[in-house]
Amino acid sequence: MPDLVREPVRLIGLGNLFRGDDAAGIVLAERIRREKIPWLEVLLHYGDGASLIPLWDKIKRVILVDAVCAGGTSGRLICFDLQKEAFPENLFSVSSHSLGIPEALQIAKKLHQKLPAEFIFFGVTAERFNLGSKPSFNMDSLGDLFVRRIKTQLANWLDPKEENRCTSLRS
Amino acid sequence: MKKTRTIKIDTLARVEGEGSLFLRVKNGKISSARLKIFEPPRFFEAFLRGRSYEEAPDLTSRICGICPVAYQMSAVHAIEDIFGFQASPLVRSLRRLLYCGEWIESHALHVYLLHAPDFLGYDGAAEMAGDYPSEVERGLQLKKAGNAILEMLGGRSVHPINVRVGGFYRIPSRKDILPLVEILKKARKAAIETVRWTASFPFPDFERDYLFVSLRHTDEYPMNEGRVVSGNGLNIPVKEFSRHFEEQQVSHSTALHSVFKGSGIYFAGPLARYNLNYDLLPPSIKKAAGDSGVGSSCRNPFKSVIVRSLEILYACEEALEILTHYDPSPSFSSPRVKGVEGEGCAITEAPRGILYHHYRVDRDGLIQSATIIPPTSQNQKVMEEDLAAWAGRFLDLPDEKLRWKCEQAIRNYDPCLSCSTHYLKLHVDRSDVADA
Repeated sequence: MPDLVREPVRLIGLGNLFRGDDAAGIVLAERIRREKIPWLEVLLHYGDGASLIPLWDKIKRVILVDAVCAGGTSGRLICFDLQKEAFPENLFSVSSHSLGIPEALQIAKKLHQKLPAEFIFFGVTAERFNLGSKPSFNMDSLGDLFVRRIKTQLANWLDPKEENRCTSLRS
Repeated sequence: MKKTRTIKIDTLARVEGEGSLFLRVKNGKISSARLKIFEPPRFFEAFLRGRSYEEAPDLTSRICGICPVAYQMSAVHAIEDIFGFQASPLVRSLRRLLYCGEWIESHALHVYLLHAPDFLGYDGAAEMAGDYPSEVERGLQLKKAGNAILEMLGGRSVHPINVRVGGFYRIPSRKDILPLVEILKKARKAAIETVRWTASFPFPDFERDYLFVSLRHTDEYPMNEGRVVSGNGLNIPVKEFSRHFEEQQVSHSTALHSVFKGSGIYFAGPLARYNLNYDLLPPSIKKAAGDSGVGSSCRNPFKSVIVRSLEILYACEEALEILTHYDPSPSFSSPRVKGVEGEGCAITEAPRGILYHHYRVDRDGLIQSATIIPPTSQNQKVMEEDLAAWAGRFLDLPDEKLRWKCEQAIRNYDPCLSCSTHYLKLHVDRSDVADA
């Protein structure tokens, strides 16, 4: 990529390392962190949706990554542009805390300037959330695909092209 | 008109964890009220066996993401009880500071995002945020302030990693903690507004003669230390808790129920703390309580939202007090605690009430047995009683509205349902197979 001064991007990986597929957001965030992209800040978030809102406050470009219940094969990557698309709430039928991402997004939308101008969500389709369970798919191989998708997204923000645009259910 | 009516709420909204309610009405009266918890058993007490005592704080903190500090504090105090270890005044202050952070963030989450919608007529916080954006912002600010304490002192806000038997892995310097002062001064202002706001809510006229149980300390509002006291005169050291309280398995819940032997059903949590320790609150908090209309005692569970707001204010002031006097020696570090064989226990005041831990450790420092009794487990019976008493007033309502009334009764307790399912005893009857 061209070496230009860029608007900082914050990527937030969400999940729980001890709940099977729910580790996906954390594992993939750590994977992209190892790429050491200089203008990409990576945060890990293990908590509830209410404490998520301040993490994207006043940040112009944010990427979230988390496990979702989309049906079908687990370990697929799906993508939503949260500024342009309605977020399917049924992707989060499982939550170990009282406020999940859909609720956090709804609350943030109602508050003043609480959603980033560029806001992308990457979901990893999941099926196993039991405490102490192992993931149902290979997270290492998904990590390579995730890195390519993130780099594509970052490139798109630098130089928007139709083929790089985030579209739903594309993996 | 039907003689028998059954109300089922399959999934409770705006509570932490998975639970449902069951209400049976027969001949115009409530014949059965049950809080069914179907969080899967989590077996923490079982898999703690064979682990080192040093792992207890980190393992038990995984029981809950909203109140992990409570588990860590009860764990370290119970382990230190086995070894006869007394924490230094500095560590004691820091542990109290950490608990202040948890009280602030947990109570703020409950007050603003889970409970307030009930009083203002909204289905949830998202709808409420549209009409009350400043108030919701204030709640998020308070939660962020509480999390800031946990991050600075605990290493992170969810499942803190800096707590250990004996103290902390890293003691913060005065320079580390100074940024918290400004954050907490602003949080204190937000907490004052929170008390005023919740005091303005419309409250139903609903009081019962509860048997409150909490810790009581000699000279401070209880968090980490104290004796166990009750509204009917119990005053015992924590060591005697199991002689007076016992757990029971019930068929309709994966969480064990608790009873006070000889007295029956009891009530733990902010209302209990407040009623049994009001005299120990600072004048500023008593004044705020007086201005809010709560006064020196409160038996209306709906007004627990005001009491939680008062506890947020108290925690902000207590945290500021600790920070003001915090000045550790640069060479100070938490001692390593040498383990011995034995058993010990502790109770600390989680945001939702008394949290009991008991451990037995062998001479190699391995845990042989663990017992953990969370506050929500202890409150299940009183929640069911409240449900029956409250819902009994609204039997003329259609099912949908009656369901809403039932959920409100449960949300008064800010239940943490996933905390309460810590262990399930399994008995398999094979007698019919053996006889075949």
